[in-house]
Amino acid sequence: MHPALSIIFFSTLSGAGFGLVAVTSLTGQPDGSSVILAYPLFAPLFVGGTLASIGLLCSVAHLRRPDRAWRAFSQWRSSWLSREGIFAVAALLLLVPLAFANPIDSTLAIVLGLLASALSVLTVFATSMIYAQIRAVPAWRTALTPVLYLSFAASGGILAAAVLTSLFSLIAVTQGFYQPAARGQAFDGFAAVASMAIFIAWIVQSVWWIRLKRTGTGLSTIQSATGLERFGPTRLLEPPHTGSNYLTDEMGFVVGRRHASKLRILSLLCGGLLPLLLLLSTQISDLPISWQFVLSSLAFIFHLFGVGLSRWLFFAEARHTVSLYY
Amino acid sequence: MTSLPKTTERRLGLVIDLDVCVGCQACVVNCKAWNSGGYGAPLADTEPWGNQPSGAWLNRVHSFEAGTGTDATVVHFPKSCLHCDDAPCVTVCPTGASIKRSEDGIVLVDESKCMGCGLCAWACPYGAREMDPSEGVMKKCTLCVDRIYNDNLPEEEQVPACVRTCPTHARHFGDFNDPTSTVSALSRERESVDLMPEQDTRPVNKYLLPTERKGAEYTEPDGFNLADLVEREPSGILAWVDRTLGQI
Repeated sequence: MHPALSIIFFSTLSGAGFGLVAVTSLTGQPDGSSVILAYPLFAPLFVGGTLASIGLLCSVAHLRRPDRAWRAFSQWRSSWLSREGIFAVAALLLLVPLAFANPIDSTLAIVLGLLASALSVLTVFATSMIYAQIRAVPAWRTALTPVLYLSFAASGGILAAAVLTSLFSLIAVTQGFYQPAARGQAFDGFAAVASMAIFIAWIVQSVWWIRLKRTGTGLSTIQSATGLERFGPTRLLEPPHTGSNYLTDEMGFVVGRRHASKLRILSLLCGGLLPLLLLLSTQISDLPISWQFVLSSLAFIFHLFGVGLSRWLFFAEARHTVSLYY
Repeated sequence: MTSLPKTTERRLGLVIDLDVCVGCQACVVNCKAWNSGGYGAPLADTEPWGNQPSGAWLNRVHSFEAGTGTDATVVHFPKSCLHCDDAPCVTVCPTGASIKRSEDGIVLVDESKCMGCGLCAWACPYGAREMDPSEGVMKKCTLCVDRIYNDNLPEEEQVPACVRTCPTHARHFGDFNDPTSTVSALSRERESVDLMPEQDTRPVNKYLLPTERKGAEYTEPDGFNLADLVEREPSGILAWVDRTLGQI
């Protein structure tokens, strides 16, 4: 499948953005016991919402008639793409009252927070189902695809929460708001959970890749595509056209498969190993908070790049059954 | 709605006879011609006179070689939308532009609603949908919905353009719900197949398989030589003329 950059940016950014929204909405409950309560909800929700919105805008760039994008909210009964749009907009709209309700009414904030995080998870799930539902692309059609998308959204979101925690600690300490010890704990907690999430996400990605190798081109063959099974081996003698067409451009992408194994290793290094090492290095004793912020930010950027690369491969390595006719 | 109807009153579709298709591409051209002037936006091309001509077509003929050695058969293989009963292209559509009609089973795109996301083309295992390069909306076979119900056309023209133009009668149009129709009879009496049945799309269009030529042994025809035509000795009157003329 053709790896359209708009779609890759969209699913990577909005995945991390909705991940952050879900994490913030869930853990940032103003119950007083939460370690994360140390910083205001407004900022992380704003960052998460912005990431998700940039992602959504990228996806609109992929449309040939973006002026009709509003119609995409109408077919929620059958279409995962429609559901994704509805969930995404609902989650983003909810962030505004959530951010303002937080300091005023804790019960309302808990309800809104739970709702926002549920909608964020549903959005990422709906995104993954757009691909997982397509039988014509056997690489995608597995329950592992939603697990993969949700895992990367979780790892990106928690990592982003860690970055923001260190940023707020940094601000708090430089402003002399309060003692850095409590802040350090919040960051350490997020860094530990983020490390676990990153580890799990790349395990899921590896399993997904192993499954892809086993699935190959799926059930369909050139014989079943032409109905000529009885006649023995079948091959294309003459293509229907001498040049390329929409189908070959959109679904006959081969460049990615040539370098797939190298790119997989690169994505694993950038998106998995490097962020883990960087997060580990934030735990060096007596490391200044400013360094924690720098190192965790680097970890987030590398993670996002690695996930983007794996998302590129998600498309580039997938074969569509229409290629059996060419 | 992009939900599929449980059943359709009629199931209009095509039977394509692979035994007689000669791959002349007439159906391809007539389809393009009709759909550049009929329903919806014209089927556009990019760089039609340039170095890399491309464009949207709703019907294409692939040619395959099936079998090996002397058993091999060349099969010309026209491919257009199969108007599936369980059309995956319809349910994925987020805007409501893709529909399967409950009255006749035709799968159509409402071009005024399509936002050109291309998801339906991904969902179709057969590659039956192509994006219009200039209009930015999805194009597909309409089963010539603007011909088959068009009372302004003479009756024999009220069939899809590809069917009307086929010089070998490789394409037949009709209602598969009607057991007495030509398409029902053909798919019953001849060996007919669904394309990619494992995709669970339940296509309406059926393909009739070519006659098997397996086992036919190839032998050089004997007693016949092209050179004989040139050097053959005349006999009878021609021999006399030949001799006489030779003596002059």
